[in-house]
Amino acid sequence: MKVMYTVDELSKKIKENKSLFLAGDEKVLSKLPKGRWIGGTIPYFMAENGGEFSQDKIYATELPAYISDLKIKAYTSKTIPNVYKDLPDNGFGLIVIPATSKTHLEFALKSPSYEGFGTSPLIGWIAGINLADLGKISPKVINGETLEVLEDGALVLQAKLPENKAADINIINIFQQGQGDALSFKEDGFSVKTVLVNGKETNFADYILENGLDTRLPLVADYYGALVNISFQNVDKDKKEVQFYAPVFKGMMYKLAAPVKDYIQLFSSQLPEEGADHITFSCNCILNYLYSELEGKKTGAVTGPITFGEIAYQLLNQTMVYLTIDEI
Amino acid sequence: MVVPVSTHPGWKNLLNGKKQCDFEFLAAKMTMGRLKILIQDHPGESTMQQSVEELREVFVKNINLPKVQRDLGKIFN
Repeated sequence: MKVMYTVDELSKKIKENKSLFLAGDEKVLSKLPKGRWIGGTIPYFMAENGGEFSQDKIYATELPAYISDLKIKAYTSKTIPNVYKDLPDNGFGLIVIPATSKTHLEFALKSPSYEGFGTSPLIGWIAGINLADLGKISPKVINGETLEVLEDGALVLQAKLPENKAADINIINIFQQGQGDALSFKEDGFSVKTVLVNGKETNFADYILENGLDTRLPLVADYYGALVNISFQNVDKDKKEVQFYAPVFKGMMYKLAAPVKDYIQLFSSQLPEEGADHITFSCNCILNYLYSELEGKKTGAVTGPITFGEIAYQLLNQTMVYLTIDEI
Repeated sequence: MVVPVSTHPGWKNLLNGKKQCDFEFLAAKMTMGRLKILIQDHPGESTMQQSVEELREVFVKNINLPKVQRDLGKIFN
């Protein structure tokens, strides 16, 4: 199925009033006309032919014609706590937030406690940039209705489904908790100095370096059977501080993931039985793309943007998330 | 399918760990993971009641999904 489009091809779809959830480089997204779409910046994709870097094409998720009451809603870091309760009954929301923005940090830290968490499906991703441009440009999201470009905030496409259909979110996480120490933290946060290793307090950066931990592997928490990853961003041995791409939470027990030999084989074994055609939207993590060298490789027939964070209700790392819509 | 009222002891048994369930529904797993820590950090009837209401709402709003109906059956059967 075609998922990568030129500006001209997408402009035609927009003019036909299609409802679109887009991912692409800022240079191409900014050339699109007004319409029923939102988009986030990223030049990495799992495209029809496998992992791909492109600053010319845009990944498009076209929402099915049977959706109704489509609304585009913009949030700030102050209003994002309303994101779940604003979703329609028997509907879903597609969300995109620029990486490292105030809204990203607020959502990551506090969204599990927002009113209405889990009551309607909310899925999406964290917008990013070409890694070669880190520190030079910032990730952005674009509201197609107004063509407003946001460096901070969140955009949500809200959609309602007919009574005979229901949306559901699932994740594919190839990582399992390893056999190592139980790690916990005294505070919620994207960075920590102190860790409790099997209950004993120590400096986390020292612990990582002394034990030679492979920080390409995430920390894995078990949420009542759902394995949730926290990826390492940096271990600063001078500041004795560890930074993550998603927050750790006080009271949660984490373990370093067990090593993975063959990402694609493990990933394929976890794909839904119904197949990729059954998936309405999916995205996967830039760290899976980099560490498992997915450029040019196919993850089955699954496609989607490669992102700086995945949202399946809450922020996740190193995980593929996907939305399905079924007859009920 | 009717979701049992929040005073049904099945909710409390789930949240205090007397009953273990292997859920299919992702939002139920995530909500349970967080609420169990909340209850551990702030034990007491008020936290328990608030947690029951919150978890029940996740089931009520998603009850049309077959996997949610199966999960509900695991709590109360």
